[in-house]
Amino acid sequence: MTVIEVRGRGGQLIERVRCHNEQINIGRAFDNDVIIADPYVSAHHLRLRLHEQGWQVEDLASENGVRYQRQTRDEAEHVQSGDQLRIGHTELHIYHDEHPVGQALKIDGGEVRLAFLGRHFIWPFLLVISSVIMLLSAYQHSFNEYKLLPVLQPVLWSILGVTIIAAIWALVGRLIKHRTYFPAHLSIWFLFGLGLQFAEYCAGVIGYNASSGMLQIILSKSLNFFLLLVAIGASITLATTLLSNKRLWISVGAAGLLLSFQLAGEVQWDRDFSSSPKYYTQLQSPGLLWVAPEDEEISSEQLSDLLGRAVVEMEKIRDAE
Amino acid sequence: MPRFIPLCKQSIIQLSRLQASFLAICLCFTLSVVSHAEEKGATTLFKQYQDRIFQIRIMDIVAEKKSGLGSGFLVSADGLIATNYHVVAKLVEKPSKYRLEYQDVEGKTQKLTLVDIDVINDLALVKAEVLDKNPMLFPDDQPTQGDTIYSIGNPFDIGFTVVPGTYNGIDEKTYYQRIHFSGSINPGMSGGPVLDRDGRVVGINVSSAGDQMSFLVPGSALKILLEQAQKREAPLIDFGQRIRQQLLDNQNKMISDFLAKEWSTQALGESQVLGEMKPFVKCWGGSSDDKELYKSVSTACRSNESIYLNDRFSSGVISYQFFWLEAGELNSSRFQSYYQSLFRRFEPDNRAYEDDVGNYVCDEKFVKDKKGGTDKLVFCVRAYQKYEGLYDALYLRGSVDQYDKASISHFTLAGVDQKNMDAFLNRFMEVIER
Repeated sequence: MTVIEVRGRGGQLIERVRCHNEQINIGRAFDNDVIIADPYVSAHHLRLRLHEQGWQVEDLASENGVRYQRQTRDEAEHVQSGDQLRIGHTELHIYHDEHPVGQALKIDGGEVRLAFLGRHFIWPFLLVISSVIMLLSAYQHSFNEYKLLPVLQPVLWSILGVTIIAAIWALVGRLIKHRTYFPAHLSIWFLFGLGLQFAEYCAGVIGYNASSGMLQIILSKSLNFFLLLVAIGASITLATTLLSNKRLWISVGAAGLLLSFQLAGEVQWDRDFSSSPKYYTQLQSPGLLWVAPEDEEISSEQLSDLLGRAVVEMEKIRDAE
Repeated sequence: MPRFIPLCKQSIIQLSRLQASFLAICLCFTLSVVSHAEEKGATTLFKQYQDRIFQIRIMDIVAEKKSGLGSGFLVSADGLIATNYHVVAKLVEKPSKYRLEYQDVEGKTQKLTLVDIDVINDLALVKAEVLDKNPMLFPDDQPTQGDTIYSIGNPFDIGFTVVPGTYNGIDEKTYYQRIHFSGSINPGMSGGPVLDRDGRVVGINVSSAGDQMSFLVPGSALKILLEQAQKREAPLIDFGQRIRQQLLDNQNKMISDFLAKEWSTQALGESQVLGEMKPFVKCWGGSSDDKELYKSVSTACRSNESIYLNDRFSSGVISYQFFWLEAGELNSSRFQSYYQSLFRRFEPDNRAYEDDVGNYVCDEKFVKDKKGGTDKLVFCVRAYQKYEGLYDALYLRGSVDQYDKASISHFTLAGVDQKNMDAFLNRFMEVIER
């Protein structure tokens, strides 16, 4: 018995047909055994004839001919189970019905759960939340008159950015898995953006209370890494069929790579000379201060220590020249 | 928003002192405003003394081309020529890259060696091997305000020029003594003499603020340097050490003079801040205009002159600034973010780059205010590379306990040692109240 797998442009599966006949007619006309809806295929394109080792292929004087993709090099017009033929823009995969199939994949719980993010009320909700937060922050940072257009512009750019990232993931999914999950990717990267802002805010408040600009930078970079890891991991789960441990390593690798680019710039900035102080934390709202103030004094010991550190820092700059 | 040094005049002085801004001020203009009689006096003077006045050139050894120009004049019978430190600064920094020579009025050149420098008064002494001429002399007493004096030099390398102008006395508002000269000094004239009617050296050309407003180093400062140089038996080799000592001595004197004065405070909003401290700093004030929704008043005080060390490095500056801010029409959240962005933008008030200083390191903490409030205090210092024991300090303090009011205080000390930094810092914290 013969199984014919019909695949369209880009290898997308259209149908699998089981044929009991020894002779199988394939073409666009309705009197064929396998009917192909491809305008580049002739009405009666080819005929397969089953024999002991495989099938004999007979081209029925078709317009565009038959091309072979065979596992064995065979001069005659002869194919074996697993071989492919190409007619028009259609691929035909020819199998015996005893042809072995692979083990069933375990259903990926992650993918099912993440696909939930693609529900049509989630991403618009996240879009609105993100826009409102961006607009509020722009409003808060305007000290003179509040003009809508210059405020709206960066918001629109950010939305466009997220959309492009989601679209790239959707395209990857389309190619690998034949599923786009575009709304779900959109939700993932909106959540990432929101997470990033929240992380920055938390790092700022913690660094401020600890009076350490360095702590703030370390904290914000670690949170960045974690968020990037989660977001890339989620998008990979949706877009590919990789197993979970492979997904993890790829996410760690990608997030690490992106962050190391950023860190390389950061390290350079740290080494570079700046004519104004680099490391002091910014002010926060009075309600966000949790530590008790000290006495109004900088002792001679503190000053000596500070000057000692300044000399070390100076030697670094001097020796770098 | 601009940097918080709203001192336009100040920065012009800085620039021209640098000789970096070749403000093309036409000299013809200067000559046309003086009367015929004065012009005649100038001609005679110039004829009489022109053999003692030189163009000082810094030559690039490899390129064999002029790399810097200034003017100078003979001050001793054994061939010592006076000029500005900023004319020879390149040579002091990189003695292997440059050499010195002069060109006299007749166009003859001769090699020069560096003998002594005074960075505080921007003076230098160089020596010619053979120079058999009479030196220029200093007057016994200063001219009176309004007297005509004559500045001589070689502006823009176009040839020697005499510029008559008016003696306007020592500028009382600067710590580093300068004579205020109403006349045009242009790049290239630096280091040239300014003579009275009898041909005696009243001062040395040093800087210009444009528009006929120029400054001279008093001849008395040169006299002191000359005496020191002539007393010295072995020639001076380590000019870096000489500069360091001068900077150390200067900051010792300046900070102790500053601390010895009574620190008068004045109200700024609800805070008490330090007023003008003559002659160390000059103060400017500012406030928000109608367009701004918040209310702010500020005062900024800064040394009038700084010590030139090189084109990218100046020191010897004291400056302080205070801001009082109120929310006005802004809600407290918008006001807070305005205040936070203002606090982020403070910079030191002296120029310095990676060839001369290190990066700032900071200590920050929350401190109790005298009235029971809480402030954030940031104190940063950077060390000098070539002058061990000298630092720039930057103090920044802002209130963090009120939603709709805020005060910021800031000071910069450029080129101080630990002892003086400590003393100034403690006095500052003691006096300022918000």
